[in-house]
Amino acid sequence: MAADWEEIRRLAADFQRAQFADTVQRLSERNCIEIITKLVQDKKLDVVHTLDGKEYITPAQISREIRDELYVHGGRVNIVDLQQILNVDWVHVENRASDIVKSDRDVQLVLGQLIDDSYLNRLAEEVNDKLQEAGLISIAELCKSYDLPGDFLSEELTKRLGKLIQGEMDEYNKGVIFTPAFVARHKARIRGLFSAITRPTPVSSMIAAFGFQEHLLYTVLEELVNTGRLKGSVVGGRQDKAVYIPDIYSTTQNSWVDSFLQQNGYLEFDALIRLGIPDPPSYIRKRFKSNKLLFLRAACVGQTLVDQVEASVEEAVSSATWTDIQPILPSCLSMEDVGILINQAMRNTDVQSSARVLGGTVVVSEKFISNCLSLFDDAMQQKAQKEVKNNPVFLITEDDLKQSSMTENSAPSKKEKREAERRKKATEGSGSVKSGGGGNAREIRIRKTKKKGRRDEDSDEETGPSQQNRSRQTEAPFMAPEEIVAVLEQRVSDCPEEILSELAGNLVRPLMKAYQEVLRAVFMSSTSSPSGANKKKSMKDLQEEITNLYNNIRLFEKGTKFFSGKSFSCHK
Amino acid sequence: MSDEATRRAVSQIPLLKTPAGPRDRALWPQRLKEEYQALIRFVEQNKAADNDWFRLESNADGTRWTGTCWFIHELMRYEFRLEFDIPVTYPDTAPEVAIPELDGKTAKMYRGGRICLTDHFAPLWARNAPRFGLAHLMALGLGPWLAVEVPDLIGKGLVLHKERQRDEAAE
Repeated sequence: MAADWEEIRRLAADFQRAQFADTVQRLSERNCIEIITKLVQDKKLDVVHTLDGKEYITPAQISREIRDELYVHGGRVNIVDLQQILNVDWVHVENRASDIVKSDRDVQLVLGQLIDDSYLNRLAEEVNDKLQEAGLISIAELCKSYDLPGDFLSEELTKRLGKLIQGEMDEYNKGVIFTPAFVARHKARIRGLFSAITRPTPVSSMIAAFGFQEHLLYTVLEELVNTGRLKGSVVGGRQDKAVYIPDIYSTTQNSWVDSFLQQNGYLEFDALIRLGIPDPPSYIRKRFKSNKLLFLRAACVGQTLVDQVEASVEEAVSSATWTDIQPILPSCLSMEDVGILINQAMRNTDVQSSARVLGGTVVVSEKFISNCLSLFDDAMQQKAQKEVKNNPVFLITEDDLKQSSMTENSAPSKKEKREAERRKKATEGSGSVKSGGGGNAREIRIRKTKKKGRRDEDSDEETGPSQQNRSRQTEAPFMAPEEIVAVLEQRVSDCPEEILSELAGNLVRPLMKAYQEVLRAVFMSSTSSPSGANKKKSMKDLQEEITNLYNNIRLFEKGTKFFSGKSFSCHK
Repeated sequence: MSDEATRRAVSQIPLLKTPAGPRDRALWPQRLKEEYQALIRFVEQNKAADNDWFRLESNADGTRWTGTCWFIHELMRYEFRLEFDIPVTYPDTAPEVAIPELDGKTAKMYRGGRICLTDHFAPLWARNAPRFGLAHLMALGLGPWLAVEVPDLIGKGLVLHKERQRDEAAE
């Protein structure tokens, strides 16, 4: 019982204690937030609330936590990740991070990531491991695997080259790190390979075939070439089209070109291109500056060859013969080039006016041609005589008519009259056929006469007897080109066929002209003398007859007047 | 009756087990112990909820209780003395809590300042006797009464804040 009361007293005391214990001063969350906001507004408190709004955090704490996180993450942490971990607004994290970067030289902010030196050192060690394994590492690869910008990486790695990283960087190309062993190996390969090259080789194909590192290759190659270890040169710089030309090749090339030119007196551009000279004309110009070379379309020709051509042209001209240039020129020259060459030669020798080029390669002197013309004089005379005898009508042209009417005052012969009349009619008829059937009939008759006079070969074409045709045909052909060729062949020996035919072609026209003249001359001399006398005689006769008849008429008229009207009956 | 918060608070108060009044020499201490435990629990709860609103103290045998209670209205704290006796028929009869200061100021009060709880509290108590104790009396009886009456009295000007009383006295 007493114990109970004792306990009650104790409980009563507990109760009092409980009552007088400090009340927990509770502020609602809302109030707290308001208070803190107020404090922050008044700048009495510098805190940052977390994103979920459950916690406040001081900037110093953020800094500390950032450092801790940086350490935990092995020296590299993304600010975005940090923001998620710290659960604070991104701006605060960034501000703090940049403060840290500013205050701490070991920490850097790269691509929104905090990176400290320990991380970079570890990275460098890793890189070194890889480097020792592979012999070469490209920064680009590292960029990819570490997800860091290349500039930053190469800068940081350069700092650690030689310390943490046993290797070196190409001076020209900062993108790659090599080990000395790798470089040496590479160098040896390049040395061997390029020593073995005897012909121009594009460097890019070597790279492809042997898997060289392009940047390293160029550096090493340049070095080897410069030190004279490799006898050759790199053309085209450090690009894809760079070509390595070994000295041995260029010397043989040059010597080949030299000897070819010396032996043959010309150089063919195609041949040079085959030798691997990309721009033959400029190459030749450079190489043979002192030599006077004649550049043609596809080749160039030495002075001796030009001289030869000139000499033969000159000879042909002076000796009034012809000469074929073809045999003395190299066979590879095209016709065009030959033409250029011959023209040049003719210009040089100044014989353009006294010679002409036939068949592309043959130079014929004008004298020779005129000689050829004279060959036909006799034949022409004979032929003209024959022609006149056969059918002189056909040979007379309108001009002739006019001439004859003007020169000869006496009346033209019946034949001539008729011819003139025909011509007049014909010219009228050409405008509009108004003469009708009569005209046609005459046409036919004329054609017949023509046919008689004309040569056999011409008689084939009688289907289209148009006026122009006829007027043209009035020019009597002398000889067909084939016949001319035949004649020339007899007279001019050792001339190639095609030259002769071309010559004949050239001769046809002048011969024709000459023949016309000869023919006219023959005709004049043969016709005008006898017919003139006849004409005169007949005229006199006619006049006499007419006068007689007239006299008779008058006589008879006078006689009739003597009879009276009665005389009629008397007569009866 | 009363609000949700009170209801929850009351449900946290342990129910009493011993049906004994002050006359029951043998079991009264047992009952008193339970009363104290319940009170302590209630007070701790109130304090934890920042809702401390009374002080109680009893005499040696736990039959007469005195103390203070206070009510905060419009950021002013109005404090009243309170007292009550444990009736002989306790726990079947609820104790009659008296606030002498407010005697004659409100209709809901018997003579001598005993608050009128008959309407709601008495039936509740009757239903729950003997499991309800003093803690329940405070929570379900006095608390709601104060919450209803005091603002009304203050509004009528019948109750003045002590500082103002002092001011008025000074005047």
